[in-house]
Amino acid sequence: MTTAPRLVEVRQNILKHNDILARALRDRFQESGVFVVSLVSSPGSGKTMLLERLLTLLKRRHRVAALVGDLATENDAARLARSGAQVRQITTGTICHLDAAMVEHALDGWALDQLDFLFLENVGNLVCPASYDLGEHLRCVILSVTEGEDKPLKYPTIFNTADVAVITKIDLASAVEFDREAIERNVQAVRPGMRTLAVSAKTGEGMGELVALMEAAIT
Amino acid sequence: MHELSVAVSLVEIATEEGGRLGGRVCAVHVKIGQLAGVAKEALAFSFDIASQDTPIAGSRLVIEDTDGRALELVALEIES
Repeated sequence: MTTAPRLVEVRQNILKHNDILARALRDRFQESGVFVVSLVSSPGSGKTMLLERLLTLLKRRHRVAALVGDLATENDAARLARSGAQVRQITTGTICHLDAAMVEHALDGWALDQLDFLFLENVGNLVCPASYDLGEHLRCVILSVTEGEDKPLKYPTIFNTADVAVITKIDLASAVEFDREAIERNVQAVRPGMRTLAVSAKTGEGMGELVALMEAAIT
Repeated sequence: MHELSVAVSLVEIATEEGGRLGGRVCAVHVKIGQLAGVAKEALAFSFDIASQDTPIAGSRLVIEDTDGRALELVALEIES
């Protein structure tokens, strides 16, 4: 005799294992006194260049390190190491995002209490990283002036999970007729109240403001 | 395209919960938010692959649309 299947409510977050791990990481970062910033963007936004400058500037007064995620190659870690900061590459293979387990694994053997700032550079992708908490304190979404002002409207989820939007390559703004007001409007439409900063890692414009924002977080 | 990663997590959790409840899991009910960044068709396809050779292989995935960023395992159908 067969009985009808019974429906049992279980109510679990599908990514709960990642969330539990991310919470543990956040507690660990807090205890160690390290401020953790993640960077998300599409490929080619100038994320690595921005991070290289940031590491160089912050390193003058603080202890800084970075984990950098890519599908393949260790090129970015080599580039970032030029700043003199401690850098490790996470090679994800075919996976399009970092998750908390990858971060935890990559931190193995690092003395977090010897750091003031830790940066997590995600894989270049504006979709998948939105779903994965990495235990970071601040999530920066980065977009360059060459990508078009409607990026926030096209990728609302990632903008919605971020804390600050950094507009890069501002030195190219006039060449590409970049509309600063339009981007501000579009960011505010998907994430009301989010702060936006415009920088050029090449000329240094706006970098002081970004450094100040990071430093304000640890004081 | 991280539906396969999401499907793998879903299969893990559904297998855990199914094991706790006892019996065979014949359907998995989930809620997916519009802002979750997950495509339903891709998730359904990935679920069939991710559940192969697991205790919940052959179970049906039932997806309900919802608002926000929800990615939730809501219920299991269990045959005893």
